[in-house]
Amino acid sequence: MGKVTKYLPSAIMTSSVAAPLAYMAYMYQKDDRQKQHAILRNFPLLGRVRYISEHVGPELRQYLFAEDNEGEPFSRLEFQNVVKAGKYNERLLGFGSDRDFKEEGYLIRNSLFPKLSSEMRIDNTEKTNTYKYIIDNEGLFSRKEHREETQADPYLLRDEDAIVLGEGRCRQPFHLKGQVGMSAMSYGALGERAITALSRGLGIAGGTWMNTGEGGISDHHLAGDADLMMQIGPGLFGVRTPAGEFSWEAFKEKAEMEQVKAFEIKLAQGAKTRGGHLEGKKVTEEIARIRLIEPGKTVNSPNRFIEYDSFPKLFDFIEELREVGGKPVGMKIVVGDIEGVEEMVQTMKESGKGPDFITIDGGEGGTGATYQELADSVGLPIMTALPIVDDLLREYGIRDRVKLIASGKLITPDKAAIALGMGADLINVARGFMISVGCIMAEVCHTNTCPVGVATTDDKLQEGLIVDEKLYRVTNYVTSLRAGLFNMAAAAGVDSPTKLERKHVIYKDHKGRLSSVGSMVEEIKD
Amino acid sequence: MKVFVFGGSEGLGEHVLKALDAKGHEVVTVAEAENRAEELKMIGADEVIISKDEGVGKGAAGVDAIIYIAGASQGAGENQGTLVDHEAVIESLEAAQREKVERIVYLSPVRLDESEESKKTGGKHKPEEWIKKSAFSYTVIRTVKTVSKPGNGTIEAGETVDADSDEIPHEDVAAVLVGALGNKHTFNRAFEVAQGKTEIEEALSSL
Repeated sequence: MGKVTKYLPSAIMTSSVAAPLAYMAYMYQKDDRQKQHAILRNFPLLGRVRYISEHVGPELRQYLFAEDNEGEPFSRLEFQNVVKAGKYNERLLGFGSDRDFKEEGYLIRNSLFPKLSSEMRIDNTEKTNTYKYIIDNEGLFSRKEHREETQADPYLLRDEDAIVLGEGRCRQPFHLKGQVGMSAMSYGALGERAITALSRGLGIAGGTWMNTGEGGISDHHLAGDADLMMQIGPGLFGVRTPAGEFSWEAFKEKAEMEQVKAFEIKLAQGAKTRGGHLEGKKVTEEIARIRLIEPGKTVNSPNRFIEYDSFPKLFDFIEELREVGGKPVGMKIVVGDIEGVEEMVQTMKESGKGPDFITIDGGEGGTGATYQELADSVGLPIMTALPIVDDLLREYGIRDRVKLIASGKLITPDKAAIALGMGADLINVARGFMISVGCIMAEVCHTNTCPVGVATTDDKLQEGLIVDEKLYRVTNYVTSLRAGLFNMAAAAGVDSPTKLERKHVIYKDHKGRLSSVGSMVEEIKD
Repeated sequence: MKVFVFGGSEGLGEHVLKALDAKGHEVVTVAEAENRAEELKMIGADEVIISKDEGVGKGAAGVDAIIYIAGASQGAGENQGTLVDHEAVIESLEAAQREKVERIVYLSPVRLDESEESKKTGGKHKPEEWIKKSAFSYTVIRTVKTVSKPGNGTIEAGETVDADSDEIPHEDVAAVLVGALGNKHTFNRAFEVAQGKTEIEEALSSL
């Protein structure tokens, strides 16, 4: 016994030094002999630092080294603004902006006589019951806060100002009393908890919509009271026959659902002009039932509707969808080929046919999975694409029958307001909503290993996402975006964000010179 | 009954309009601008007078009763009585009397949970005294801070109330003001209201 107590400490000491040394020696010679990495052969062991740093780089930069205005796709401040709006339903800041005003960008031209809040055309008649957090005490290492129920103003548009999709063109037009909705995000790309929280939160907020993504209508999309816009992609998920052709029967069934308010044909997506690929092991019984495909089998979908290779053919299809479904039909595009867009508008004008709305996805838009070259360099950014389409529709005199939905990093009210001024009627937000249900921008959406359980169907990871907590953040985020749009409209001197026009926006370059954003098309044509 | 609603923070005032409308009363109120007036009509007002000065006379013409929300504005807290211009309140009430309005339900800016000293700061208790001596058939109500939270439908009411909570939802206070209008048990009474467990109608009737 005495011996043990005498030698034990030094035995522990010896082994605690010897064991790591032995391990390091083992790693050293392993690195030295491997043939894969030059740096490890030349600098065994030491070279590993490179890989470790590379691996944790995004997190370190995000938490420690990034300036407030740095960080992509969204800066730390943009991210915080979304989170705070959802959690505290409060967006006031002190002292001033942190934006870098030397940089080029779009600005709202404020009026010297802004509107008073009592002069705004808001509909706050029905309050929204929601929850928000209140900070009791904040210290360096702890924050004491509590959640309480509250009646919030919904900041809806007046009935007369509502944006109507398919007005006078279909049996059941879609009236929207708010201008911000959720962009296409499929069940499968996002887990059931995230989709459920979004559906319920948007349902409470009202005056908004939820785009199902091309993965079809899941029970989770239907979990809340949200109005749905069903997206139909080239894979025809949810509206296909077993052989992979369009099924009018399945379409009719979807069109008869009360919650489905409109359909969107997806021609392209900002970051994903590639075809779809769904791995067989991800095709569960549930996914198969929703998408009308066979469980366990890999599905490849083309990057274009095979049957529709010209505007007349596509528009005939849209006409039939509208006729059969009775609901508005739109299409989602990415603008790159301007002559092609002009041809589209011309065909719309001449045939009297075409979509009730066009969703324009800016090249900066997000996606769960694509290739870097497509994400970075295909499609015009939204502030260029949007005015081009708006101008062309006006030039051909058919702007009034088509509504424009804009998307592409428009997650804060100022960006959204500028897009409204640049020609949009409505704003699609995807990643902003992901952040509101807990996304921390880990950028692993394509791997099913999302650490916060948002972009994953993994049950274990989803345990972190509490639906009853996050759904109110969705509600608060969308209502505060709408409140922000009214603020921007008031500053511009108009009484509703529906009245924001090109004249309210100006572009400032890095030297401080201003240029108008009057007409994009004229400049291109000259 | 034709009722004129005057004052009140956005949340409380709107709930009063809604509650009056639901009970089938004819409602008159004031707004600063045309667009706000339109919104108040959507909520339940039948007539909205657009006026920037806070005169009561015009709105009170030909009405049966006034609901006057002098209190519960965000500024009217502990020792902040100067934010309530009691002389303007009394002037308004005199104007209403000239218009031969008989009934008034008055929500006082004095909070029941203020210190005794604070209750008289800036003379904010004075309109209460004036009303009690006036020819109005009056109801004077004191409460705690009103907040935008969903209502409970229940309260505690009495000459003096020991409030458990320092706040009360707009919706409940609105229901008290509207419920008191025609409830004889509240005529010529001053009482306090806080969150509680009794149905509002019942709490008022057992005063």
